[in-house]
Amino acid sequence: MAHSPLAYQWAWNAVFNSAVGQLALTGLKYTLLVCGLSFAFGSAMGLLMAGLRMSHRFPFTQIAYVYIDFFRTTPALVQLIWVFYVLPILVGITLSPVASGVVALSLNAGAFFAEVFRGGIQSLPSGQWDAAVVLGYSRPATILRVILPQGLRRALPATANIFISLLKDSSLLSVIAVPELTYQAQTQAAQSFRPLELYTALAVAYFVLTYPLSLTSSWLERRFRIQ
Amino acid sequence: MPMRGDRPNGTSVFGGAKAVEVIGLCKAFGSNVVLNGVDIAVSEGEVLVVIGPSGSGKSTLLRCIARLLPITAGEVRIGDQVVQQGGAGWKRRREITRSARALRGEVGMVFQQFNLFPHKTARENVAMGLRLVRHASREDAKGASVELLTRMGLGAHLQSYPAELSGGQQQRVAIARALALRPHVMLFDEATSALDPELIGEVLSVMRELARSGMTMLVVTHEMGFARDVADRVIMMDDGVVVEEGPPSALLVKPQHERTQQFLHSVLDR
Repeated sequence: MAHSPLAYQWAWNAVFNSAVGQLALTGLKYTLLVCGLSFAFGSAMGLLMAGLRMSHRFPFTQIAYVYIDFFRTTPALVQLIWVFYVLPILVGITLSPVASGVVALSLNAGAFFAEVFRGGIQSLPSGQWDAAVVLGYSRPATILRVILPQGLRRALPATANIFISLLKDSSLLSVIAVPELTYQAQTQAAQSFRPLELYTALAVAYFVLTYPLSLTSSWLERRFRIQ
Repeated sequence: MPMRGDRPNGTSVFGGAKAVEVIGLCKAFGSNVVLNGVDIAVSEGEVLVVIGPSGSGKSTLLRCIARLLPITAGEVRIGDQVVQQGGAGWKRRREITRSARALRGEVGMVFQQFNLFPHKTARENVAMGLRLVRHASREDAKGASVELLTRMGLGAHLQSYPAELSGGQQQRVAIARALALRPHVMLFDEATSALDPELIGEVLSVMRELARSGMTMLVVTHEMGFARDVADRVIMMDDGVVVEEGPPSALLVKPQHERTQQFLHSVLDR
């Protein structure tokens, strides 16, 4: 007998009840916490690495190249597992799942931030540097007052895209038992045997989180093109 | 027009030395030699105009003097201080860089593309240098920048961003920005070449005023009228060397060298 999807008895009460609602809220808190921290640390890391990459000085540029290439080309999941399982053995520090997750996502996002910041900064006309040099601005003053305000502003739309990626990649943290949204959905599905409803709701939840960001990114892009 | 405002009239800034001295300047980008032994001396208060075809090295010359480019050989002096030395070892170069810091803002430069800071208003563009380089207080910087811009006829545009200003207005802000630091030498790198024709006049008149007030100026331009009226001396450059030099009444009217004649013919008789 063929089963059509519409013949399935959807039991949405398995999702929309107060117990699951509590779990979802907890999941949301952890998702946002992890994403927020990773965004902050990742952008700091990205700024540092972009600076090293553009420094024209031998050891610094190499360090930046290696970091950026490694974290952009290996899967985030592999990086996460490595930080959680391998790093403690190597370095002797054991990190909690949340901490490991934030470290891994920050390092990952940092590589993308570095390229995005570098792109924004290098897209500035060289005349900006010339003007600052001729006016006698010190190098730190030039970077802080002239280059970064303009360069980072140009990088803003791409930065929104990185945040969207972070939101999606935060679901990977479920494999190391961080109680974010995906993990909550998984454990609940195992208990209530309603994977269809739960995972559909999960997908919708992620969409609701990321869609406003993608609209913001498009809006930012349009705004900067006109300028 | 603010000039050597901090010194009473008649006092020399550079003592007996030339304001700008370029000795045997060579500049190569890899194997491409752009400046091939240039010797120039600009006296205090003199207006030197540099003309020549594109690719002759005029802009590169100004950029070397402004320390935007390292030089391959030769020497550049502002007053009696060496600011560029070709072929120097890294220790000497570091020494020169350190001593050049004392001359911050001393040599002002105005660019063809204005190079205003687009994220700052006109007034902020001018005041920023005073705060960052001269360590002026916010009020002093504000007062000075308002005064300078008003003298340029831009009093109504203090709060405007560069994108809201015409090319001529932007360039006048750029000139004010350079003048705010009270330089004793001003370099103009084709300051009017990117302007619509009807806007050129307002910038040239600012430059004329500046020259009249005794500023030492090194001007690269295609504006032959300006050269004829304002220059004390004109230099013709081609292929990285100085081909001819002389007062405008001589060089522009009766050029001696064939290349000068060719160039002037192509520029003037159209």
